[in-house]
Amino acid sequence: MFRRLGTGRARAAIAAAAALALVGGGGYAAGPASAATSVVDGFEGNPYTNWSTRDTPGDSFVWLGDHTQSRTGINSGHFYAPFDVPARAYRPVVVDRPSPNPSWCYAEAWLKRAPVWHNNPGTEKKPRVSLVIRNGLVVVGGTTYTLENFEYRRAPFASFRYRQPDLTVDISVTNGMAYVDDVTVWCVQEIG
Amino acid sequence: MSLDQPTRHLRRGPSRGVAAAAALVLAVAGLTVASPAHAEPLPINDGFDGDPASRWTVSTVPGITNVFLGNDARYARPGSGTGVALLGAYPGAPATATISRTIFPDTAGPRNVRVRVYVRRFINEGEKDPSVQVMMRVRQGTRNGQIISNMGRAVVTTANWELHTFHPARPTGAFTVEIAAYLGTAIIDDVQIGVG
Repeated sequence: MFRRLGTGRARAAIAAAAALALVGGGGYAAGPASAATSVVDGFEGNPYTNWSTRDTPGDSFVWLGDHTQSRTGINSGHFYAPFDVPARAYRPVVVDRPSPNPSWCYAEAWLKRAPVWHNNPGTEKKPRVSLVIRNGLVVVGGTTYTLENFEYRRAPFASFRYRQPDLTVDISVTNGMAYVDDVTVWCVQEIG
Repeated sequence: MSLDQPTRHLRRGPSRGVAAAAALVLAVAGLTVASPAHAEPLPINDGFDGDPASRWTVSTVPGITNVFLGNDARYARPGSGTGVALLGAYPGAPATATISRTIFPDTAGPRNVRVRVYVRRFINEGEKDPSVQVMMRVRQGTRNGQIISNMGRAVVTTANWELHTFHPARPTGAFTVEIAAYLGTAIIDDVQIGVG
């Protein structure tokens, strides 16, 4: 199970569901994102088209690509940061408002702790995964998880009122090795 | 060895000779830049013979990853000369041992490029990881350019050479072929860069 350090609000809402697919890419700046009512990004294709990565060789490492540890498809995000220097990936997301009415948005990802093979049994660290969604520099939601399990678990990390379409999803890992897959952002119209 | 007790020491490499040669390469880690500014017709076959350091750029993190480029018949692919590349990354380290070669093709327009490489794993004494991760990329332009082809392979066996073909790429003008090892040691030989 995850240990959830932050909590995102869950709001009753329903209607036009939108699924944002973040499909992504890295090492530098990503291209402009096109609008969608929902985004789901499983890092498929060439993820470096959309994702930017930040790591510090020797202290942290990010790999976005094909891996046997992917949850869906063939790609996933691999993050390894044994200490406090983060392994990061982020991408822009543009989400259309589902309707003129008040809308609520949600974000989630699937996370998995990775075994570090050279460690002695019982000494493995539990990676901390910080998932944040922001508008510019303004954080609109986010949660930090400490991963304990070696299987994928769903990790909701934000719920927020829709204000503007331009968002950025930011993933940051410290204290261990983790996989991330199927990052999803979607907005729905609230029941009046 | 635990990550709680990090080490910056490399495990013993394939041989003392290789280690010594790798140390020499490490001395210029990340700084060796080949810049063949002249146009090169495709295909290119590079078995790391001759003076590979003049063609390939090495990127390492001193103390935890290393690269050996040169002649060592013990590790080279049989029948293809004695040149070889050994890419070593300490299994617990968040870093890669990387080589890259920038190609300036003799035509400037976009073209489909096919890259193939022979890979074999080397297991250092006491290594527990089930595989070495080998990452193969093509970048537009030089070695910091946009990644336009990206592929990773877990290489398990030490017994056989595996032929891997990069994901298709369509660069315009100059492009860079990048090969990296992560969480282990890989032996690389006979890189083929052609039109596909």
